[in-house]
Amino acid sequence: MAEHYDVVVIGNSAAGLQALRTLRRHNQQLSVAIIDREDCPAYSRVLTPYYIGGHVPREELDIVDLDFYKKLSVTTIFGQAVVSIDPEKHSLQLADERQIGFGKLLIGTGAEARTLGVAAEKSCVLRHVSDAKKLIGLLKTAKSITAIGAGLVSLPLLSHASDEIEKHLVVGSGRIFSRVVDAEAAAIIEAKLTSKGLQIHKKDDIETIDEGNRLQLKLRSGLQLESDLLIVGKGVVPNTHLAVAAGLNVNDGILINRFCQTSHPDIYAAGDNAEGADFISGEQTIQGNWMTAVEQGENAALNILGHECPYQGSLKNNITEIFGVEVAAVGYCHDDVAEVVSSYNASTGRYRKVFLDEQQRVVGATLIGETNDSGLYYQLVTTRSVFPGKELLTGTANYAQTLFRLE
Amino acid sequence: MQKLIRIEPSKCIGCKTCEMACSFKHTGEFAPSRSRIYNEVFLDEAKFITVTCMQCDDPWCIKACPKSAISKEMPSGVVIVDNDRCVGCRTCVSACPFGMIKYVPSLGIVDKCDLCGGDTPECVVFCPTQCLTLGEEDKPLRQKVLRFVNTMKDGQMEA
Amino acid sequence: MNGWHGKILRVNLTAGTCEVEALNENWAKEYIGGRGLGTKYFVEEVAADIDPLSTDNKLIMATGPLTGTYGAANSRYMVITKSPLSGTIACSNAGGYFPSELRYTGFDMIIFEGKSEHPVYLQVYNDNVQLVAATHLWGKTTTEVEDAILAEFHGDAKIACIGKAGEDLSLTASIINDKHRAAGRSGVGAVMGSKNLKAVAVRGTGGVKVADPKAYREAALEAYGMLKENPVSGQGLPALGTPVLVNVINQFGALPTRNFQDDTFEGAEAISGETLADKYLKRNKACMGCVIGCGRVTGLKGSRFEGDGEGPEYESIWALGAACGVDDLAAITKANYICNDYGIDTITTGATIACAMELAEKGFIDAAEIGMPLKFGDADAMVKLTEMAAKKEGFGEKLSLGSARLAEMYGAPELSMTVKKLEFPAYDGRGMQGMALHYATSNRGACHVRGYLVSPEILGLPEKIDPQATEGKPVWAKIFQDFTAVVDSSGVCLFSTFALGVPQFAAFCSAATGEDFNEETLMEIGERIYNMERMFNLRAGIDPDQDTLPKRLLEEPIHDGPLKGEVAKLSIMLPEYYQERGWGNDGIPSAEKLASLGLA
Repeated sequence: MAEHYDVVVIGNSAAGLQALRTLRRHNQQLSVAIIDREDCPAYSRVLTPYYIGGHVPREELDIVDLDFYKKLSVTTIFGQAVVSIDPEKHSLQLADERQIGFGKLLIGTGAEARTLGVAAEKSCVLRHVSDAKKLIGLLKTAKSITAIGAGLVSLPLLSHASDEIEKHLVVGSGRIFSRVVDAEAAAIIEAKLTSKGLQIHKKDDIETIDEGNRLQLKLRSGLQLESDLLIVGKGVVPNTHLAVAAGLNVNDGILINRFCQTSHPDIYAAGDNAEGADFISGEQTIQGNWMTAVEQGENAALNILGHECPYQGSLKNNITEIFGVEVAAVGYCHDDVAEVVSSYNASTGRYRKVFLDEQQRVVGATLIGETNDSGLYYQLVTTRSVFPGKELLTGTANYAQTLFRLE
Repeated sequence: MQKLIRIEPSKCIGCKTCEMACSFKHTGEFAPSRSRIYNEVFLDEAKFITVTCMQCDDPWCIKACPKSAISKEMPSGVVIVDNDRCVGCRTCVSACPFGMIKYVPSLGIVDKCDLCGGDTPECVVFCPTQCLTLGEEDKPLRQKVLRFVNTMKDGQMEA
Repeated sequence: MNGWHGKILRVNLTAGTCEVEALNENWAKEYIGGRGLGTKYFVEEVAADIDPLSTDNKLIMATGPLTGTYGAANSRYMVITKSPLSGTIACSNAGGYFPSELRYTGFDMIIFEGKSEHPVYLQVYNDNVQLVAATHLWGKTTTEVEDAILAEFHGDAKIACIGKAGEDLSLTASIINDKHRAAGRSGVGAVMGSKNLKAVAVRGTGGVKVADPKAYREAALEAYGMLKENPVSGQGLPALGTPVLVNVINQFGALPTRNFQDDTFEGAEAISGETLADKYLKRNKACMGCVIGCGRVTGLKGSRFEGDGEGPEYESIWALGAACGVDDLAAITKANYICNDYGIDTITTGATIACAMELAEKGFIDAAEIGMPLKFGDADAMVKLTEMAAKKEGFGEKLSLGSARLAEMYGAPELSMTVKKLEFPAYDGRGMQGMALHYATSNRGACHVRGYLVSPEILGLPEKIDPQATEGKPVWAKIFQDFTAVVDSSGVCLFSTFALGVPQFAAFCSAATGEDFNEETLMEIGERIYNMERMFNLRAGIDPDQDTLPKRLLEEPIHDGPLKGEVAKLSIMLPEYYQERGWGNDGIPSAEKLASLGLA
């Protein structure tokens, strides 16, 4: 008799963990297993830059310990990659050829970092602990580092690296964080980063990499850089090969409906490998952030249990600190909305921009300087709230302001 | 039974003593910006609104934490941050719809109300008008929060 | 340092520079902070004989080591400068949120000097400090200024600013913070205006450290209990605010009415705290960290006027009401709002209008010159004149000089109810001899908050004394004046002293700073401050012969009410007061006294 579980989760990260928690919160009877190709309890990708920066030791990257799975009565199959899924037979095969049967399946295999076409010893992406370890080694002796791609991997990494190191950033577009914040915010952050010694090369690209004692980088602009490390932050590629092979509908990611269900009714997907409705636009999209993975994991679990909970749609929700500047971006943050409301004060360094639709509802917000109220903006977006008023922008908002307007 | 700080806004006089008492107890300094309770004064409208962590049943901050550094203690129901585990990534900050967990730059970690860990909360001790009391399961407060979460949906809320 | 931050900010408006300096620690120990320490800096840096509205004058905003903490009513700051109204040292004191926020920026005080070429305002965001253009704020009301700065600087900032009156150098101009709190008296707003400084906006995310947190907390808990149990701070003020006094003082027979011609006001009930609570009160409000909460948020909905704000306080109700014979509380409240919006002192403004009313009734001024017939009891005229004074329009220009100059101008100086050119507040000294003595000797003129002997003489706190007796009053006056200097220097509101005494302040100051302040050292500090101020005034040409009262108080007995027949018996008390203070018969502090206080 082959192994069989009522629910099987592939992928031991944000989506998978939240699915386990949710399943057990509502149901103690079902048999549940989790499979991951890495042989360790779940660790946190959000925190890898902190690990590299020396703020967190490796063992502290773990989100949970093995006890967690035991307490939830979840069978762990770690260190085993899934090689194929057979939707019709409700079974999957592991690398060691074991067959596992499932009643319902959740695919939360995440994504891999996009690499450069050319490989170089001294270049590195950041996705797994192995990447992080390599980066730590290279950073130890580096006198100069270069990053390509100005997003949520490269910038925090550059920020965490020692001040003594010469830092370069090569950006293809005309500005940093082009996928995260609006142009005005980007300009404010750029000015800050430049003042902290970061050299930004915009509308540029790396043409050739010569690996000698040090990396010789030739940029399209003609500039020649000598670096000891090249950080590649060019986004991610969803892990969809299992789904493709299983015949599920896949676009860039595994397509899911409002119930986080794939084209097969008993197979669900959640997190960085899933392409579902965007909260604002309704279009299929891969959001690629931690909170989306958590929410989709929870939602998938509820639907696996038959609760029929539609997911409201995924939303950008990023918060970070780079070079001492706090930055948060929530929802849709581009200037082509119906209306924007903003406030900026150079002396306090505080910037707020709120993006509104035709009905004056909040669709996004960018915050720089003080970001402790970003959750409130997240709430305003997720509840499709009408913008409560400009007063919200200049002070530190909490829900008192909103309660006040409700009274 | 869920423990909570019960707030009766009509008794509030906007003195912010709660913010002072809270920050003094937890940081050793009078620093309202570090308080875990917020006494908001709307001068023109003559409204004083005090808010603090709701100790949610299913807390957003716990879900968001990529390090399992936040937990809900039982039976008190108090939501607690493990300072040793928190690394200050702020994912919880951007997840809390109430803005009640916040990052403290000087500590490098987040901070929130823990109801003073079992003592009578300091804000309750010093509140001059008994606007704040320690209670169990504050129904009116929770209803108001639910209203906040629900009525704003689809732009029903008046600007 | 504990208690103190040890850091002051010096803003040179001529040069446009903002510099951080270390606080003089020795002075801090000798003068505590606030009024004492600010005045010490002032007298060390500014010659007494300067023109108050010239660039030679400086303006200091000073907090005390207890400002921004809890325990009593700990959100006061002091504005210290030379008064353009009286020529004396000026130190006007206000509460609200601004004083505490100023502390959280990490500065103990700000010293403004010189004069900016163009209107500017100061932005303080922790130690990030800058002067920015205020041309767009010039001419705006205090409420408008605050809203504009909140929008362009920081929504959590607290703001102190001047209205149009300060810009126009009105001698009655005040500095308004948190929209409705006033450093009201002595014309401090004009000094700010003379420097082209429109506002000070502060936002601090830091804190106030104390030396012994445990002792401080214990002192605070004790003080809270005392304040709660006290009939004035625990009941009267929380229930009705300062206007609780309207009926109390009127029934006592010492509510100066119609420019001190009468002492009971037939319209008192209509302008009482009870009526205010009934008609226009929106809710009670406290300053930061205050357990009393005497503030009243009010609005004029349902009356023939429009407007919202705070107050009026007791003194404002009196000045704009009883002093003018006006029993229309809506009109008084409206005039109070106008005063706050344009930034003028309610007491001086009301009292000066009262003086004008008597001048008009007695034929010293023509109705034509005023622009309207003027007599006591005319509420509309009172509101109109308040507005004209605030805007310096027409006859208002003369009103903006205060009653001493006004009465002098029309040849009837005896009709100005002032000491050292500062108008009396709402207690007739003929009805309480200690208060009369204090009025005559207060370092800023006829002021009630430098030695509030109303407390023992009428309210019976800390003990009841006979208001009409003269014996012992010099000692009472000295003790109250010196103790008040301590309270004003610590950063705490005077209202806390209904319940708290020197031992509580000693406990607070010691726990906060880690210095050994005991009852004796604190009272010595108070005396040092009082003598320092006195010496400044003497150098400024305010001679001891000005330690007197208007003829009306000295010679015209009260003709109505329970105190009928009483006059102020100053001449009996003054020599003994000088003696008690260790001053010569001529009222000049002796060399020995100054030496013993370290002021030689």
